[in-house]
Amino acid sequence: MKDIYEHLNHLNLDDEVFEEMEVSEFEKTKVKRALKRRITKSKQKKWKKTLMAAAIAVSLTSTALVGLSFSAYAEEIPFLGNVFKYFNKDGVYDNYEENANELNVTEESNGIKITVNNAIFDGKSVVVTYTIESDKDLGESAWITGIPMYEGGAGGYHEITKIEENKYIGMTTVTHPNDIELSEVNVDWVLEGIMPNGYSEDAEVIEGEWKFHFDLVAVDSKTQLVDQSVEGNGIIASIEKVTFTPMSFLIYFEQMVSRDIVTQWDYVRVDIEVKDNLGNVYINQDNGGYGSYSSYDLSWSKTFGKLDPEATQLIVTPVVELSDNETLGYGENGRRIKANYRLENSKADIEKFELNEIIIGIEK
Amino acid sequence: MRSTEKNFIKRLKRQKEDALEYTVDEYLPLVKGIVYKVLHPLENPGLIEECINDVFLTIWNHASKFEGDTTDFRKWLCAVTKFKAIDTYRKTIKRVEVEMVADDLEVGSTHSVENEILITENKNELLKLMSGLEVMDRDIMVMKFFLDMTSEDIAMNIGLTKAAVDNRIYRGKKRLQQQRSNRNLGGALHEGYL
Repeated sequence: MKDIYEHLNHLNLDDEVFEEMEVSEFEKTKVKRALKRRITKSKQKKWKKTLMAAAIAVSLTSTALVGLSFSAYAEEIPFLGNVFKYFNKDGVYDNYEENANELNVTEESNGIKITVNNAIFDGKSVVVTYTIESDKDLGESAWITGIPMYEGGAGGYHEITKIEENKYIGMTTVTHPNDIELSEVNVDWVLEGIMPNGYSEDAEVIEGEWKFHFDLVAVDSKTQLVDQSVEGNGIIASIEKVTFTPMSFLIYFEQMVSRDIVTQWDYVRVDIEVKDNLGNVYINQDNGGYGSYSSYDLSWSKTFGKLDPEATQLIVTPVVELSDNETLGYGENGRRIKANYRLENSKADIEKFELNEIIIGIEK
Repeated sequence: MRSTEKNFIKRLKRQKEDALEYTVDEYLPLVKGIVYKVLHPLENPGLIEECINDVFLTIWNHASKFEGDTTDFRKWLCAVTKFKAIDTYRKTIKRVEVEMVADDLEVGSTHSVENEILITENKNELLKLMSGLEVMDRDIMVMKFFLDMTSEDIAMNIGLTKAAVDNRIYRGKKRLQQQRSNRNLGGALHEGYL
């Protein structure tokens, strides 16, 4: 089924009837800044988390492999090995390698070789792993521009780590936000440049062109409809469905927010914490969501690690976070002027509480 | 590489941020004009601002679905903007009116099918129902329901007389009503949480 934006595309509307309005440079800048914050918000958050995970991984490794240099350890990683495991977040990617498609395609441009090692599609996200070999130093935190494109794929982010002199490994995830499940995707990935010292607006870019194309069939999956809700303090959290794949499970859930809450708070987010009846706690990867930011009725999905085969129940705890944006100052009439963002470590109001558990019996 | 008139659509599809900036520079006056016209009766500047941001975010998120050249893009942008503005307007108004309407539904008073479906906020459901219609009827319905256009405006766009448009809307609604009762969508009616 076509969505509304595709319908509107084919409408061939007479656009001469609409009138333009005067806009100042300041207004343009304001809109751009607001957009930038919204499209990079989740990216940055994940990046920070990854840095932390990488730092933990490195410190664990150095204790475990006493006497081995980091590069000796790293050498066995990129080419023999399991790039997924390298970026593993407490087990989310444990079983990805064995289910992935091995591609090992190399493209070279401007003295830099990029090899796509593995790719996998779970119906929701395409995950690609790759290695970058360069004849020059790309700094400690190289960044690539260009995300893999496929039908509906929208939000993506990269995680790239230096493993030794002029060698890097990376993993890029691109998720499609729609509620549909795709069985197959055709992926086009055009990389246009590398920023040697990480992403920033005015960073130096080594330009080049590395083009990849690959088709991916979604891994086998089983979807179980759940349709259970809990309600508390003006928030409804409901689990729509769970999809099980050989290496993961995905939970699709929604939040609905009462008018009172929407008028009282600037931002409302429902998150979920998941464990099973055997006490395993599952760490997740956020796939983002979609919906209306004016009402905060939003749909989310999250990817978790592989389900313990012995588990018979998933226990989901919705966690609600209500937060306010920064206050910029007060107008002449004494009314508060608010920003449309919230800073990290902000002192603005924030409230967090759990709703009752939702228990899902796993259909075997 | 920077975005220009020639390449910004391609770059937008590839999620290049500079293409989004280009779009804002180029089209903000138009988007603001459309949003302002719909929303300024509500006297809430914050709402207008939020809606404008929402339009560009939508363009960014759905760029991959767009097909066509710069001329088509302008038309698409106008349609998406009008849709978002109308949607924001209805949601804001609805917060005030919903209880009243819900009461009406319970006592089974007269109500139109499109209002009923729009109250459910379930646009996908409406699109699904509409997928059974002919292309021209569907376009008319999209203009009527999602863009809140008058029959005259629709007639000018489609190249039909106003009477022909009215007639098609009447028949279209009837078909939707039939399909809807067949599918028994009543359960999707949303009186719940508000």
